[in-house]
Amino acid sequence: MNNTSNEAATTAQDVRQLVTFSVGDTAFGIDIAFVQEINPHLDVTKVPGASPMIHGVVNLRGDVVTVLDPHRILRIAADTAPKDRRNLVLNIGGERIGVLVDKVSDILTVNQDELSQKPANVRSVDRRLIDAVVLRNEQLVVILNATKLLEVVEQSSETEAA
Amino acid sequence: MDDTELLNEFVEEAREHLGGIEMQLLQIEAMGELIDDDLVNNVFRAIHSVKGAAGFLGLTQINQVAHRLENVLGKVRDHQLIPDPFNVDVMLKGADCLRNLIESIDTSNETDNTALCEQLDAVLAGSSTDETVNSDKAAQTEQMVDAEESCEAAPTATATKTRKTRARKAANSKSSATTTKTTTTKTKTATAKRRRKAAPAKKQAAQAEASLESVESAVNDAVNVGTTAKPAATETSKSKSPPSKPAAKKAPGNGNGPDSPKKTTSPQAEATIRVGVRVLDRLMNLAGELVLSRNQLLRALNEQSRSGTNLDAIANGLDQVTTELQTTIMQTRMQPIGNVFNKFPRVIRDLSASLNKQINLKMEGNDVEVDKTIVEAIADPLTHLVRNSCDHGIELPQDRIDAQKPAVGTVELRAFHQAGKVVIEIVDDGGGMDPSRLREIAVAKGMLSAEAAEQLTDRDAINQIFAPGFSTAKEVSNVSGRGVGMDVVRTNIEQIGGAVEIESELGSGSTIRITLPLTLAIVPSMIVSVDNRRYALPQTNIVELVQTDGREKRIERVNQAEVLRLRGNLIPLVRVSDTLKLIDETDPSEEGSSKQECQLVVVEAGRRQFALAVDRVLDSEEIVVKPLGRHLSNLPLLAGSTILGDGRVAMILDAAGISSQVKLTSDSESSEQTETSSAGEKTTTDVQRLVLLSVGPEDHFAISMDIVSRIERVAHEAIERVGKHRVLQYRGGTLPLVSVDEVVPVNSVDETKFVHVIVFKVYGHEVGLIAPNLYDIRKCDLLFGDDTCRADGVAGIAVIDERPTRLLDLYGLTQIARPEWFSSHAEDQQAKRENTSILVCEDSPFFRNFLSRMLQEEGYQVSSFEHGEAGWASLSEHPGKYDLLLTDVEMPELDGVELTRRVRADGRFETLPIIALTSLADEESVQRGREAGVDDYQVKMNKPDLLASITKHTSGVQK
Repeated sequence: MNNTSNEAATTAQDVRQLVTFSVGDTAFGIDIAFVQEINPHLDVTKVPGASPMIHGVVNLRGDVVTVLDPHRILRIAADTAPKDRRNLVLNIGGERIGVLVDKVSDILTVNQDELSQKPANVRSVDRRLIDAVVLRNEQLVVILNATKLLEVVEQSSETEAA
Repeated sequence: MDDTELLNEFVEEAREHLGGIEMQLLQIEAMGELIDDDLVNNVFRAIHSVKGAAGFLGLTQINQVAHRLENVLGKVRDHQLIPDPFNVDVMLKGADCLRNLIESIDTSNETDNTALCEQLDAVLAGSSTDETVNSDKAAQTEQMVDAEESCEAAPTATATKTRKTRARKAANSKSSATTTKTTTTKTKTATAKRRRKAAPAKKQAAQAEASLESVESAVNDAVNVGTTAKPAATETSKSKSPPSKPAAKKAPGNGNGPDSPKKTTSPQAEATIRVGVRVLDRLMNLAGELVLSRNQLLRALNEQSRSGTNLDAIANGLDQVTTELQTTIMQTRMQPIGNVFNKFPRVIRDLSASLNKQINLKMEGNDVEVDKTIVEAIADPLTHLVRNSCDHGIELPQDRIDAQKPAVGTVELRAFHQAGKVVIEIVDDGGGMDPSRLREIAVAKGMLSAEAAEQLTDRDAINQIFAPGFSTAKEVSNVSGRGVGMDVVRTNIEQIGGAVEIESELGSGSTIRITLPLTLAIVPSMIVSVDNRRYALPQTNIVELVQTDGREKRIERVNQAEVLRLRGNLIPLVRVSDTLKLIDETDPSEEGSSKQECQLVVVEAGRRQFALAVDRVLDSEEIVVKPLGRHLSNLPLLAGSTILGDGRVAMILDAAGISSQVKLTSDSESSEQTETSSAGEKTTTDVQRLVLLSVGPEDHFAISMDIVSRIERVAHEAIERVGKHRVLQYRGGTLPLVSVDEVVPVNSVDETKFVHVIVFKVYGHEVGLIAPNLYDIRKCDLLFGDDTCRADGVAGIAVIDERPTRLLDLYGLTQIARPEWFSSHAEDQQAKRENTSILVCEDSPFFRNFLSRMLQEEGYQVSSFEHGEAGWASLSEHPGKYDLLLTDVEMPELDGVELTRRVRADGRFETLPIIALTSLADEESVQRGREAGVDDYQVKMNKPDLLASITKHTSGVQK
């Protein structure tokens, strides 16, 4: 599944569609191919002993789905319960996982040539997670690599368990 | 359909064909000369199908082995070869070989099976002079007839799947047929047609054989359709047939009913379909969601119940449908335990041969159904246990004869439902286990100290075999005795929520009992709340709920660790919220909840009991277990998650995980920690520790804890009757039992499954008092009234928890129930005592009366006073009157110790025996008393000891 994002990009003839959202003050985008649904349902149950990157779990039509805390993953300070919070449910290689974002903004269509590779000026965010960045309406949108997102959480869970 | 797909289908189909063969071959062996043609035909056909398809797919090795096995079976069917242990052994080997080849299908052609083929050929040759070619031809011709026969004996066909592509065509064309009869006729025609086609082909290569084979499967499948058409009939006849009898006796369920009285040997009589587990899981999920929607609807309806009653009916309907749907879907996961049991005849057969023992296997309850996952999980532990029974349990034939037992040992496998669970018993009539030897081994292996081993009950000693590293076989055989098995067995069984225990009697055999849940998918649980979050706690872990009612005094501290005092045991206490560490800063509202009020759930993990402190116990609910995502799968505290009625996810707590997380060690095991005089307990005036119990809703009793040796909880069935008395098998002996209602009038007696037996000693006899309900042990002020309610066996009456409670006089009680024990004590000293005068100082009117009465009954002269000062006044006034001073320790005005000092200081009373009375003998006050000059300490309610002490101390000072 590692190359899915690449495939999605090339087949769409150099056009990528991104779901953009914000975590704290930073705008992020993620390839629409990974987004299964956006869910206002926020009855998150805490999981004792879990990695701090995991916010908890929710009931997604009978399945228990893990919900990530992007603040912890991206190292962005958390606001106190923003009202536009959404659960962005991703489907990454058949695995469903939620990301509790502060706000879902828009769907953005960008050309491949608009993207710039991992610029040095995004400091706080773990560089492994960044696919590219794009400038839109004077704002920098950080495009996240969904697969890497899972890897980072996985590693943190492993260290937690060890 | 490509090759791999074909191959996969072949593998699955071959597995099915070969699945039942072992059993059938064993039956053929058992029947010997009386060859059951249908049975042999079944096996023959199965092997033939495998052979045909293997040839078609170019699986030469499988084809060759199957071919030879088929030839041998053909001989058997023609009655030219009588099955005996030798040739059946070869046939079994052939079947084993085929199964192995099929399991590793990719490498099957590279295997070398010539040895086996030669063996099979030898069996074939040994029985007949026919040339192989001839017999082969014969076999094939037979096969044709056979196919026809199978039509007539429609249901004898083994249950195959309707999935098979080649067969699907045939089956489809017949699917409109609604009765077995029409199906059969049509199939017959088809067979006849195909036979003509197939006939010339048989001289040709294997491919042609495959087509013949397809005819046969078409027949089988069509037959299957027929069988499915009458599933009800199948089920009825199946349920009627006694499960313990050989499958061969089973009447086949089929539409033609009585006109086909043929015996059939299909162990899978019911038509089955193959459904992917994933599909089933999805169905389960949906059904769960449906239940949820129903719950929401019901709640919504409840909230606005005023409007319209029509909706009620709809809701009722929905309720019923969902419940049924869920049950039905659950059933799809159920499999008969027979799927596991069926392999044991072979296991036993091979074991008896290799161990030189004669073992007979009995099976019962093959059709008991449990969840697929459990059937799979139980297979290995069960095999291990059965092997153990054969290896360690059953003795060698000569030993058995010497022990006057039949040479043939019996191992019995039983499965049955009990109280919503499935119980599997493995019973052997072998040598049984010797508890004392097990104790020795446990000590020798350093698993237990000698003292600890000594304290084990026989039952516990026997269950030591489940401890890691325990092996009792004197020599390690290839069957068992490596000592790794039994603890793995127990772990495996406990992992699926089951339990295992052993009962054994030396010389007459052992019974291993495995208790399993019916399903793993639905777990009855208690929903508890901790820090305003809800958690599920599986009921299999829960021993009991303990109400503290805010009386935190039941919780004590021992070296910083909290313990719960429960009926004389100290149980480690774990505060769940501290363990989960989930009080986070984001939800400040939760901080306010007062931690003082909590409810306690006593749980058991492994063999360890501990109490979990939760904020509240909310409800009991049957929860559907949902797996957690892979990022969360290894969390030690959790056993998974579930979705509650309101749609929120709740975590399932894992008692074992919590126990290991807080590092509860086995020295904190509750069982042996009977508390005697716990630290920090101050003896105060008239506060007695009482065991509170009730016999029925209106009859409450109390017993002074001071005279109780211990309390046991036993199943009601464990109580036996010997003559008119009841007894309990207990620690290797029998414990005589007394029931309250035998001696004291009561209104009604509760029937309970478990009773508590309160054990105490009277004149050297250990006696147990049966108490149906035991609800508390606590310190109570004894505000007992006067004698008005006095009856034999009752010392007084008090109001505890607003309930009139009778304080039982265990000695009086026993005297009524077993007068013979007291006869020797009664008369002999009566005369002496009349001259003995005792001064009693006791502030509690209750105890003063109790003591006076008791001593007077024993023949003593008694003068009693309510405190030391009054007693002293009387004593110094009549210096020669008293022979003994019996004084309470804690008294107003002048307490027992001061009184003793004063008495001893006075030269007149230097030799006056002084016995001090106390409710709880605590070391410090005993020491204080001894220093002051007390001769002896006695517990107030312990009549025999007290009397003995009085006798001892007065005997020397006779006037």
